[in-house]
Amino acid sequence: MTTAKKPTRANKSSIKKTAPKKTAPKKTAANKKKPTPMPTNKSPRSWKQQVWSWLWRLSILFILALGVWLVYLDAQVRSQFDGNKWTLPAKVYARPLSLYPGLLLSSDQLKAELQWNDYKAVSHVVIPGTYGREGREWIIYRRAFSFGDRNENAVKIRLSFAAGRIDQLSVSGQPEGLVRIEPQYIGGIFPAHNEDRELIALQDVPPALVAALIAVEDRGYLDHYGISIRGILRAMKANIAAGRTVQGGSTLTQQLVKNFFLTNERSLRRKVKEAFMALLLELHYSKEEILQAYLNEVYLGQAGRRSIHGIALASRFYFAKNVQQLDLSEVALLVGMIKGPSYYNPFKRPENARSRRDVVLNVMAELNIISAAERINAQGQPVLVAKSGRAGQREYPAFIQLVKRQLQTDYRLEDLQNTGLRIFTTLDPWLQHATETSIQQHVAKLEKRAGFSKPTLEAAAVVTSVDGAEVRAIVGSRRVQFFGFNRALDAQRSIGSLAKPAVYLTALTSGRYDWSSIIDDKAVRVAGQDGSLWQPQNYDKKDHGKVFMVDAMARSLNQATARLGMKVGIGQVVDTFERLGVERTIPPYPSILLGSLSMSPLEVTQMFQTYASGGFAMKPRVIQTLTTSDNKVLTSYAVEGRQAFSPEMMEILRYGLQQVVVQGTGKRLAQAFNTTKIAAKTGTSDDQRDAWFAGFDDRHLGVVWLGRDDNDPMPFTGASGALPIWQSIFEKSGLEPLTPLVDLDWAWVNAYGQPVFEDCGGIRKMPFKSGSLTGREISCGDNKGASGVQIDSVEKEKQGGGSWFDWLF
Amino acid sequence: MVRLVVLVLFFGLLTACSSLPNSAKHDPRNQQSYEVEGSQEGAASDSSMQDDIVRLDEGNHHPAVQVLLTQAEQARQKGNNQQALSYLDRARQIQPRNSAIFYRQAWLNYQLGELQQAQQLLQRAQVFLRGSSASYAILQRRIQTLQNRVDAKNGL
Repeated sequence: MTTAKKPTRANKSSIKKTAPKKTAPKKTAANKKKPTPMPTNKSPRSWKQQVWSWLWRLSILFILALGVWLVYLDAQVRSQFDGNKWTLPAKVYARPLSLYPGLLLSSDQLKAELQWNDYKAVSHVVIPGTYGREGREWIIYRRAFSFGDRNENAVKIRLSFAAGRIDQLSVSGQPEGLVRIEPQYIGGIFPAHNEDRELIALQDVPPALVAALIAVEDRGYLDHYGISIRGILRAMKANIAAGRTVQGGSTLTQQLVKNFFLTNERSLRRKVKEAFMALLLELHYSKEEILQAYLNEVYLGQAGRRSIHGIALASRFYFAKNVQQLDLSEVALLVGMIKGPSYYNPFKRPENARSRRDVVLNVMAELNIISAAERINAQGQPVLVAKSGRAGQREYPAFIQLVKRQLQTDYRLEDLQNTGLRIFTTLDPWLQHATETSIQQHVAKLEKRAGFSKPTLEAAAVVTSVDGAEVRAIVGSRRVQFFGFNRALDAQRSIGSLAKPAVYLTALTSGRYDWSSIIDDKAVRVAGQDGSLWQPQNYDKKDHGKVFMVDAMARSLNQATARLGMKVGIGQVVDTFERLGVERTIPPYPSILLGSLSMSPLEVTQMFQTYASGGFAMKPRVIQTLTTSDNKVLTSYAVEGRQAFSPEMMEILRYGLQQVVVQGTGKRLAQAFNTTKIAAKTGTSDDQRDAWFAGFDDRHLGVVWLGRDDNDPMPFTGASGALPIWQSIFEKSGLEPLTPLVDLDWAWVNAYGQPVFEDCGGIRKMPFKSGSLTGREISCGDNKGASGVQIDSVEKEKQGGGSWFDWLF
Repeated sequence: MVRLVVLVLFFGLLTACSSLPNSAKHDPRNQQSYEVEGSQEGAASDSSMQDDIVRLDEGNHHPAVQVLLTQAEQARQKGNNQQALSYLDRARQIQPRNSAIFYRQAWLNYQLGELQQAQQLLQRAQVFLRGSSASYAILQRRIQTLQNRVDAKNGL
């Protein structure tokens, strides 16, 4: 560039000096001819002179401006090219798969997780990233990985299964208690334009790829100074011959400048800027540096909202390989795709991709980069791309949105988007997969059954671990890959009967009720202060008379629950919601007793988490560890949560939730799983606008919502719409029957709800708080009279309670 | 592994505690930790005098948990407490209701001055404290000792 500048400066000075000299001789000649200078004669000359001098002045001005502009461009080029050239999106990882003897793990899951993680099945396991099976023994060559807590080298893992569990485990030939597979990459937190990339150093790029790139995109790369006149002429010739634009004359440097500094605008102004910047870039940086930047910058396709930049990411994205592992055919395809990543996309247009690859291979052979034999061999290969559904290729929008939201309470968004943080999360890809496929399959099935001709139903689900509230799976829409409205987080829907356990918990904690208490399912009408009348009915529109409290919950009786809630007090029920971890303000209206309050599936999860964890109120959590790009731990999140209810109270409540499966609205599950050790509750809002199912086993809590975005009714209830999805998730991921938190006292209960001694007319066995039975159990013969009185007194006592509600019946 | 089996049998005989159903025996979720090395009969009662833990990897645990407790202890000795906590949390995820792990998490949090966190973890240690072995008594006393310290600090 200096060479370009200097001549202009020299011109400037020579112009100034020579200008008057040129005109001087003419003047004297004129003077000789005509001694008396005539104004008419003088004026054309001075007019010319004036034009010239103005021209000179203008050009000086222009050159000065150009100089200033170049200095400005130069500063721009250098400031952007030095230091961090790219904003690196935060990388988000799933949980690592921990392997240890005794772990319940299906070989299907192991295989799926390895494949999603780009492990290749081979017959001889000799390189990291491959695995093989020899009979019942698995050999996995785990790659080296920087986990959130420490770096681990590549190791060869051997393991065998027995009865669905890992039996023997050894690492590098030594028996080992624990080893983990590196976590799947599940997405990034991108800046606004969603650029994703992985950085690579030039020395790690195979020479064949670099050679192919230069051969195809810019043959004169090593000789030009940023722009290539020869290239432009050649392109012009080709374009004129073809009658349209078939070839670009841009050098690699120009392409880099365009991508790196400029917009896609097609104008002369931009072209000029590009040329100057290319020259400046070449002036300051070596060919190697520019090439490396090019390889990291280049755009190679789109994956949903995410744009794939750089050959390192592209290689993983298209072929599930490191750049170093690419074969010649893949190298040629990758280089060929630069011309039109969408037109030559091997997933969508394999034919185009194939012919482009062959063109590149031809060019490589012509220039003797490869031999004819290598060309023939590579061209003979099919275009093989990695399977879809793998890590790094598919996305988990609902989960990533939650990650982003939880991180933004502690970190600035810019830092998440720019500094290449590594985020280790709680996502369980196997459970996520189970949840996604369950929703997709069942929503389609339900629509078919309902006779909907077009997609009408929507669904969302959240699955967490019962003990730690770690979010293992989350789906925010039936379109699981779609970045859009996340119903799991943001849909506020009426929760219906999912509110009921809180009403019964309030009754149980009051100390005045047991599950055996008899409550009345008579019709109920409540007048509000404003004169409105609330008169809930049962789903079957029938009265069920006096029932055990536990049956009222298991069968989700509205009238009995409303009556009970009014008796224990709405304020008390609201308090229970708060204790359970519900953060929103709940208005103390009677209708909340039956779930006339809106929550998102995630909020419902938080509420049910307290039941599932044995009384600990916890926020569902997605982040495990956060590290910098060079693996310094910034934050490590651990289990948190206050104890809101005693484990004993939760164990009692669980009995009620289990009855839903034993005899209530969730009966189907008992048959499907051949166990009743599942705690669950169905929920259906008014007019069947929302179908809910919340349930947990010994490991996971799952909350499923089904409904319509337009909030219209649908022909499904919690049991018929949401339960099958929950069932499917747990069938696919495995169900572990509940184990008791504490031991309760059990007693037979008579028809009046009183605990009786064995063989004294008991009809059901029910749990009681330990120690609470002392002195209460009735012996044979004296049970009848007292009981009726007791129940009535409870009812009467509460009916008199002067709240602002009027009991009409 | 063999040592663990011997130990499990030993305590099984000692305490006649056989609450686990056979099918679930291999499940690490259901396996208990033992607060002290129980190689000799006297050892248990000697150690029981000690109401405070010294190292995170004390006692006998499920092999996977033992690996993590050892790593946590190594990290702690290097002064890398964050790392130690993350190992402990991994152990917790393998055995989410193991009182001994919650106790260790609480203990380390207490050492780091994270009293509220220590308190919450102690609650869990107490909730999930089950069984009736000699080891149980030691863990129970240790939890109580730590609880008293947390209470004392909170009172200040």
